[in-house]
Amino acid sequence: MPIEYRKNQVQFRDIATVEEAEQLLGWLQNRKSPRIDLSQCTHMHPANLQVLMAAKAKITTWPADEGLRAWLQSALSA
Amino acid sequence: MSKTILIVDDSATMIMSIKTTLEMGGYKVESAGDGLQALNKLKTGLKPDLIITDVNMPNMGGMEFIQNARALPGLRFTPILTLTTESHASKREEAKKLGATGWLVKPVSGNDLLKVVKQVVPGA
Amino acid sequence: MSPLLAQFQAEASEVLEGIALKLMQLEKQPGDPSLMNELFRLVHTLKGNSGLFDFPEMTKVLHAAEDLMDSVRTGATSQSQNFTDQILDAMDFVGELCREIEAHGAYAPNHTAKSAQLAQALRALISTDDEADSNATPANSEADSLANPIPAELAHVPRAVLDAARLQVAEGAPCFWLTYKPDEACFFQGDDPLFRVRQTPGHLWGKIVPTAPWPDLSALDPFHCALAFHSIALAPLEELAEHFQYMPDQVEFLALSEAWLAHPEGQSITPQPGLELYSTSQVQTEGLSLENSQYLAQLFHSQRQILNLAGDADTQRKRFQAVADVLSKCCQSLGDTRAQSRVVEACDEALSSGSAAPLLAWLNDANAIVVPKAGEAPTPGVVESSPSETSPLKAQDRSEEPSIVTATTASGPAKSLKVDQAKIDRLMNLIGELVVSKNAIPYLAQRAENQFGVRELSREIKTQYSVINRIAEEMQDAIMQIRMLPVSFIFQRFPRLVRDISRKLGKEVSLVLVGEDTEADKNIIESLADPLIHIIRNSLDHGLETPEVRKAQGKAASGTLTISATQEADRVLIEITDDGKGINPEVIKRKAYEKGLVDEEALARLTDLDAIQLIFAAGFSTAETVSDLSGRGVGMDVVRSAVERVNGTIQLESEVGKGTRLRISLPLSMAVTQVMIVESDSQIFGIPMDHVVETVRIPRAAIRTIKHSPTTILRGRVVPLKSLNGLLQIAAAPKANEQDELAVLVVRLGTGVVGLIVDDFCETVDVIQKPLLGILSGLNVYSGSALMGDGSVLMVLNLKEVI
Repeated sequence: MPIEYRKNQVQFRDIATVEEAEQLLGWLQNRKSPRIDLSQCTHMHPANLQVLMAAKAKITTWPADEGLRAWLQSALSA
Repeated sequence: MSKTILIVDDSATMIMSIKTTLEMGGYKVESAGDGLQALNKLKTGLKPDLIITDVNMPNMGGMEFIQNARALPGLRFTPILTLTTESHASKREEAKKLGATGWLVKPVSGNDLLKVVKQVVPGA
Repeated sequence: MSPLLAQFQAEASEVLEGIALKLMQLEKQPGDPSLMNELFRLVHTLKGNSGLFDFPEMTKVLHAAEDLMDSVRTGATSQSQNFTDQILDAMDFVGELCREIEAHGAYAPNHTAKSAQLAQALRALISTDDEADSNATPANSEADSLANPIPAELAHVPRAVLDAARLQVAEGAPCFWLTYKPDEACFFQGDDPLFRVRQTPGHLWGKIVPTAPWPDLSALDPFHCALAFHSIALAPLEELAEHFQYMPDQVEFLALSEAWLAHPEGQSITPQPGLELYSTSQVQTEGLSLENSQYLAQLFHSQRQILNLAGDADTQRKRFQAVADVLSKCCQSLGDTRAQSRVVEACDEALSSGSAAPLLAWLNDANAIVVPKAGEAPTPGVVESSPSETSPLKAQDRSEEPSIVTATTASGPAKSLKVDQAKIDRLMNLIGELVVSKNAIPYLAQRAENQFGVRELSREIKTQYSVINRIAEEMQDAIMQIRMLPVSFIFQRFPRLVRDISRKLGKEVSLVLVGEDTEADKNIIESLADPLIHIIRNSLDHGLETPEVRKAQGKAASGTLTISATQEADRVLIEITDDGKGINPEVIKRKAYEKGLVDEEALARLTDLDAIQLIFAAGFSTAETVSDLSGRGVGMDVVRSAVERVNGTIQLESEVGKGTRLRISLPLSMAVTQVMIVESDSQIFGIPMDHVVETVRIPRAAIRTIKHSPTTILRGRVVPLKSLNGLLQIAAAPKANEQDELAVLVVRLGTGVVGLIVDDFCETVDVIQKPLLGILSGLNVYSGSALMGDGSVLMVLNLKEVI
């Protein structure tokens, strides 16, 4: 699974596809301060990114991929 | 995991040419001779990461195919590229309206093909 | 030859046949949209395929043909007879190139001129509809949306990034500010905008912003794209535009100058010197793509044509206005305001003077600006009409080796598989071997019983044999079925052939094809092509009369040529009937006599029916002058031998003034031959059952010698007798049985019968004949050899050669 859900933590692996955005949205709706681990993420479809942005999710670990990290930080760290 | 690409074209020569390039690029390639055949493959479990379709085909042309494919549950977001000739630019726009992602201009050089595939398929 | 090229070849010959067929149908049903679309699709496919290889001459012609087809298809150009001719000429050319490619892997370099000429001829037929052209101009009315393109985002770019960019720009690198606002529904077009911006060429810095404040999570639609992307990229505009080519309306580019990169903070950004606005859909001439500038050149060309049209003063004024309007919009979309104002001036001048000269002058200037930058300018229109070469009749030269063997079914889109012919031949050979080795099993059973006395085992072997036998037979049948082709495979060339020849001869002919779906073995069908083409030429050339002659004789001006195919038992019957002038037996007799083919005595005895069969005799040609059509040095004798080679027969019937009918009867399949085995001088020989009339035993006393030749009388008919030993130069006398009777095999040869004296008759068997190869291939007396079940070889006699 590209996105692994645990109790209060979600871990992105490899590529998060557009199809996963709905589940991510559902999961985030019921969490107060979830931990988002993107360290293993190599790409994420912007549908997922939007969900993270709208949820004002806090990123605990940024992606190792530098390019992706810069783009995501521009959207999520503000 | 190698990505799967479905090519839809009524010309076996065109399929062979594209298939050879893509397979050298490390992709898994499926093919269909017209829109109807392709649709049947998609309905029976094929889940490609990218579809490349010709526009003019017997039985079911590219436009109708794109429209039908987009209506299938697992194919709402799958990138679809049309194969057009430079003289039919208007078809590209029409195809985009029906849900196509972009287009390739025939004849497609091997490099261009791989470049475009890499642009539309993340992780390819 | 590479597999791809081989595939191209196979598909090309198929497509070319298809194009010819569709064109013929289209002539009968002009304007039929489905035919038109099909034809377009075929030309389009071929063009696309040719582009995969370095065949510029071929692609050029096909491209022009495609454009013409498209124009005709959409109704912009009318479908004239000339249209058909030009497309046919073009396809002949393509076919010629294909044959050269097939033979040498490439075609000779001397086709450039012909290619250009054909392409020009095709393009000359395309109507340049000015209205349509100007309507097709991309309207760039949304130029206003670019007025305030830059958000304050630029001010938030880190100083370090701006400095890095400035250094690059100082060294002459192109630098652009990019704003990408993906369409809200773009996910449903398979777009991943983040993935695309991540790959932006020369990417230096980027930022993602929401296009609107985020709603509550419960109201959020994750698939509705609400993001915008900003980026600074150090890459040329063309490269950036190409990267975002699928979404030109969603992307804007702004060139960043060095000075501006130095002090961006706090400035409100408005277009100013050093800051030029671009968007991929609205670029100045420098950034014009080749495609766009060709478009522009075309547009200018048609405006010039409009201005050159004749008309009264009022019409002319309206034209000036319309042309100026189009040109002004072009300038607007190019962002060239100076040129635009000059258009207005030119238009005013034209209107006051009533002359198109000022506008034409503007166009000349404009062309000088646009066209050279575009590289090559496609100026359609005026093309000197060069006399197109009359296309030589090539149909008979076509030696398409069909690599396709399809099982065609009438209903539904039959699923067919293309298989290399060699693979089927191999299958055929294998089943042949299987049939032969299977035949060894009964011998084995016999040996088990006779030699080893195990009767039980013998019976079991026989039971097993019958199972294997049944499967082998079914398999053989199934493989035969694969080899079956419909006669339409060759019939489909005829409409074109008839059309070409009849037009050349000035005759009116309607061709009727019947029973095109009748099937026969591929080899049989193929062997039929040349004889049939020859017969058709003969019919058109010598049989059917000119319209004037026909009318004078009270016939319809248009002659009818009917070619029908039917299946009768295990044979295919092909009939070629024309309602022409028929064959006069007296003329034939006289000719035959003059050529020394018959003597006076024989002449007197000849019936009319027998007389006209003389046209099949070698060295007979009725035409007074050898025309370039059928007089190719071959006569009907060649047709006959071609038919006989595949065990077919040919018959001619004719009635003077009414017409001629040729009947060709062919076996359905030539793979299995039924032969009778005869014995002579302790050797066995096979004789094809097609020739065998009957077997009789004749008492030696019933043999008479007439004119030094032994003969006998069978049912009141004189039958000449020949000894097989004698014919094969075996120095042994025929053996008689106890009652002193000789075994005589009565065989049919041509129209006569001959009695063949042999030692004994044996059984008839089905064999798969293999041609004699190598040094043996010179032995004409044998048509082939076959393996027998016990492993021995049976030589099959070629009676025509033997007797």
